[in-house]
Amino acid sequence: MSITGLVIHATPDHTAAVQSSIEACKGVEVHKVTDDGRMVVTIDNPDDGAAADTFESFKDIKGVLSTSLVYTHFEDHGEGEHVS
Amino acid sequence: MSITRRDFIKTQAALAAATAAGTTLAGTSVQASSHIDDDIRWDKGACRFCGTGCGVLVGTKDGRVVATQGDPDAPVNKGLNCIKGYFLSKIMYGKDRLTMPLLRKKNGEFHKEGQFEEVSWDEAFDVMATKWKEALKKKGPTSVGMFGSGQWTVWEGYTASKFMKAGLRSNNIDPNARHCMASAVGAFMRAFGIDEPMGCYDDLEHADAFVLWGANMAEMHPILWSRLTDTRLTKPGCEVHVLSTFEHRSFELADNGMIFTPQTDLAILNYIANYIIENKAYNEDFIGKHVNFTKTVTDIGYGLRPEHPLEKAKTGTGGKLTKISFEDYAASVAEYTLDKAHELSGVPKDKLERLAKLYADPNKKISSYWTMGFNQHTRGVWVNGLLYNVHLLMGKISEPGNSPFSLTGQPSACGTAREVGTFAHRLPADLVVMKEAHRDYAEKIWNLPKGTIPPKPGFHAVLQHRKLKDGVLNAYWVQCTNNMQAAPNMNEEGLPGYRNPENFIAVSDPYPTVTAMAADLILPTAMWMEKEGAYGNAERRTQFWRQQVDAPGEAQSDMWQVMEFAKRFKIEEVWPEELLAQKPEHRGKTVYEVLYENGQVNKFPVETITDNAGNVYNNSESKHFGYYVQKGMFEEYRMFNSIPGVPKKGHEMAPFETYHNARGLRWPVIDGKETLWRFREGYDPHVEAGSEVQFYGKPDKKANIIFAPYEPAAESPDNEYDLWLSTGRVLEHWHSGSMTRRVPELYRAYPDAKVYMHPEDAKARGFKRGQEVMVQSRRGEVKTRVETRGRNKPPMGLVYMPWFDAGQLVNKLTLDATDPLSKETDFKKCAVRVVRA
Amino acid sequence: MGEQSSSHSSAQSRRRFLGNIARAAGGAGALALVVGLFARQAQTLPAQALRPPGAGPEADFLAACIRCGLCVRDCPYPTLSLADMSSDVPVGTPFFVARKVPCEMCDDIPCVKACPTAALDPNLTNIDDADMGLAVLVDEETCLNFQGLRCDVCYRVCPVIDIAITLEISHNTRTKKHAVFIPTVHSDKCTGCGKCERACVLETAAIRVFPRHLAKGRIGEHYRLGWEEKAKHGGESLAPGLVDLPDRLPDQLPDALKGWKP
Repeated sequence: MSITGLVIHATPDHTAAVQSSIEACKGVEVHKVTDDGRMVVTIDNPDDGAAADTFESFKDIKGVLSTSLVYTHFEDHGEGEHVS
Repeated sequence: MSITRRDFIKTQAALAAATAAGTTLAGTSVQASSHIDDDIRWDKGACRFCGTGCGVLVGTKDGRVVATQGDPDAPVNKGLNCIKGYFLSKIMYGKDRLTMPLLRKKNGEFHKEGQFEEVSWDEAFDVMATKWKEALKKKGPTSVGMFGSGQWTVWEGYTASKFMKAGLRSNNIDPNARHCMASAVGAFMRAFGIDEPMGCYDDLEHADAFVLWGANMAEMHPILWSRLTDTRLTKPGCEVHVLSTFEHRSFELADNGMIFTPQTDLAILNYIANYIIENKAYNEDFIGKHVNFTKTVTDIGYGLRPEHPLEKAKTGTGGKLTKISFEDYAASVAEYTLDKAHELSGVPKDKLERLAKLYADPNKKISSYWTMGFNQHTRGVWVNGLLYNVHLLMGKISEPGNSPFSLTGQPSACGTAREVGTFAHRLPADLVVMKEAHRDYAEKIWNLPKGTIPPKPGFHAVLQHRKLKDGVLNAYWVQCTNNMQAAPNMNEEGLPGYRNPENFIAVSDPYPTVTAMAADLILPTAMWMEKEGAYGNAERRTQFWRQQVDAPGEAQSDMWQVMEFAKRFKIEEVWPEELLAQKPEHRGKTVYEVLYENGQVNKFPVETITDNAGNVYNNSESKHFGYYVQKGMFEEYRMFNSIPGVPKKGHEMAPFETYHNARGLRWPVIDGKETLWRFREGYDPHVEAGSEVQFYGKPDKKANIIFAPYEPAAESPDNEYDLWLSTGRVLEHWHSGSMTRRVPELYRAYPDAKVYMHPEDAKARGFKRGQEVMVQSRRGEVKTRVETRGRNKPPMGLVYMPWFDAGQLVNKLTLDATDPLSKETDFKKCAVRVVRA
Repeated sequence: MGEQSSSHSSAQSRRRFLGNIARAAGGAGALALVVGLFARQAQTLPAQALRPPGAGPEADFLAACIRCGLCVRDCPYPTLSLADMSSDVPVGTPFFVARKVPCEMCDDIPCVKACPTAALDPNLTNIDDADMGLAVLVDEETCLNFQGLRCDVCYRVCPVIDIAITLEISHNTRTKKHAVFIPTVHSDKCTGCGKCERACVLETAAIRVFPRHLAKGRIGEHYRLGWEEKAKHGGESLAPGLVDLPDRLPDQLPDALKGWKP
């Protein structure tokens, strides 16, 4: 699985549209949207390749000014491990 | 209870991104807590856990209990709680609360080997009633049974007991209190003829010295321990003596801590009596006026199945008492010298002597406390009695500070299991089924034909599992307890009994416990503040609460369940013609109508329930049945203890309303006053003027000193199984953990059970601390981890394991040996070995 | 449920760490971030990050630790982690956070044994001598025991119970009939394993383990506690041979003064 944390900056008038577009992608969660259009986003994908593709595709969405990768985590074993 | 690693990493990812974006992610918990104090309705209640009976205030908002607090004005705890009480508001909201009946089904029909499927109450009770009627028809009333609880509210226990004993005419109803304090009950009845302690918690302030016999109050009764500790701290000369088979937290305060070989408490107590007599320290005036000397039948076996070699070898049976003289008694205890007590127990002589001197000192007021160490004992009734012997010899009883005090582990072990009489041999207010006069009285109060209640005691807890396994008991209902995790020898008795294809097992519980999952039908139950309730604590204090919230989904209270189930039986289906002929007015009625719409239980109309502040409360059962059910049950119950001419005086209770307006009252409540110390003139209104002390439970108003010898345990370590196993609790979890393990913080504080072992014992077996091991007995094995540090320090040769963990069922190991008198299991002594996992 | 021992997951940690570095470095636009993180981390350790048993002062430890991850691999519990760039701990060094997974204080201290460079001191053979940090009861206002409740979970969970942490009892002046049990950490015995912080039932722990230099005060060299100095001196006064003249008192003390000693 891989989990990626990123910041997406959109123009303020497109923020809502950008948010709904990226939320439509698999494994994507928007945790916070600031007034000036920056979004705190995570991508959670079981398949490592897909996350990078998803991330790349955001750049093409109308209204997106920039995307910055802040955090990546990947591991090559499956589900089931728990921390309390 | 835990978040997945994935959620955890995702949170980290989001936090990192948020930091980079120069923003923060608002924590939801912070938002929630900032509003939590708005518009909360507070009302009084009692803690759901142990027998201490701490008063709490319950905070409700939007139909949910959102907070609790210790009631600062409650006399027991003055606003304090232990860590379980601190989390009371969370116990009803575990994620897996049951909200619908669940029946094992295959192809749309009940099937013993089917999977649980949601069904309606109607379907659940239809199937259940069919099974019960089949059993009744085939084998009669002894083939049906019920297992209840010291966690039942007072009226739930009353309702169930009446249903079984009067309605279905089966005495096969027993509470889990059988595992808990049946031995204490037996000893109270033998020594005093009336159940429950003579003193009260105020003894904790009045005593000069405390002795703990098989009670780890520091963990199991934390708030009472706090009071005891305060007295030790603030009263000059105060001493604390602690006896146990392993070192536990209460030893931290002990001035004289004693580790004894299991079972030898019998010898130590006889030594103390011998010391008192040899030194002529006994209170001659007191024993002359208020005491009879007796001895009990000996070599009475171990309450195992009759074919067990130990049962075949026994020479005595039962608990018959024979009167003896003081001299006979003195001669009987004479062999228990200091040397003998030391040799048997392994306790250093100076420590034993110090303890004996303390009891023998006429100027020291002594309170002795005990719980499971005494009660879960194959000689439990004896050992309780041997301690009364010591107090009675000195006259140190029934006055402030001088108090032999049996603590209880359940919130209403006293109030429900004992006072209401949900034992297989009991009726309300200390009456018993064996006595015709008592049955007659109950039948008169209940308006039943003479002969309705069977005279033979029903199957007790351990016997129920044996009879289930043997296919003798076939329709069985467990309420408000997790007996598959509690009862001994689960592999050989409990589980085969439940899964016996001849049997139909119903379990009522709020959660899918081990017991529920072993059943055929699970009934979802309203718990604690989801119903109007009453508990009675260990100091005879009866406490009421109002229904604060509604139960989730279709969950219903135990009382509702029993009453509704009773509607499914026509009286002709359960009573023979000779009974019906006596009371033809009952013909054609349901059991429900005969028992509960009898003009007494249904006497009080539904009323709007309010507190003194004018807040209005729901009462689900009253709304459903159309009358004030709790009040009707309680007022009918009071006809057993509080009207002129009751067979056994001394259990008087106040009218129903009084309890809703009080922080609990200690019975007997007479002329608007509580009773703190019983049997003593001036404190107890039943004691005649000028008599000083009267043990009025006995016809001659004298208490029994009962000689009983030391006899060995049922199973001791040998070459094959070389360690003693003692089981018990931890402070963080209550009993089987079905509530406390669902509180994430308590789970985190003590997640999984482990086996406490002496470091040398671990080393000799090549175990490292934390290593996985198997604990094995002749009956089963449990995988756990070794703990050589921490709160409990067993001596070499003994291991200790708590039983709260459903993932480590310690009752696969324990032996179903019971006290032949009380039928209570000895969970403190069996033989095990510990090997690599 | 709960913390299962999993050497599997520990063994993964190092590979995961290496993988993360590679991915981050390869990610477009992330390189600057990585450099920034490295620079910022410098030599300071966040207060909640604790080093494995046997680690010396932070600067010495960082100098000796070769970021090999062997201690993490050999930790039988999911306690030790290797720092990656997302944490404020120098990348590649081992640490644990008590509130998440505390140290289980293994008798045989496998992490120390695994260390190839003595960054974790091989002379540490008794885990009771470990000094990973020091537990401090940081908030008396929320600690339930300070309010008189009977929680004391931190006390009972301590592997060095009654030595590293004790319950000091006092009278509850509010209820007037209960005692108050104050959890008291003894700094010379606390190993900093973090079990107490982990188990604290509050939403935010009232007892926490900090690296010792953050946790411990130091009394000025210019002042000594008289009673301690006297005890060190075998109970003898440091100013011996002084006399005290008798007090003039009536032969019979009034009742109110019975038992009184001047």
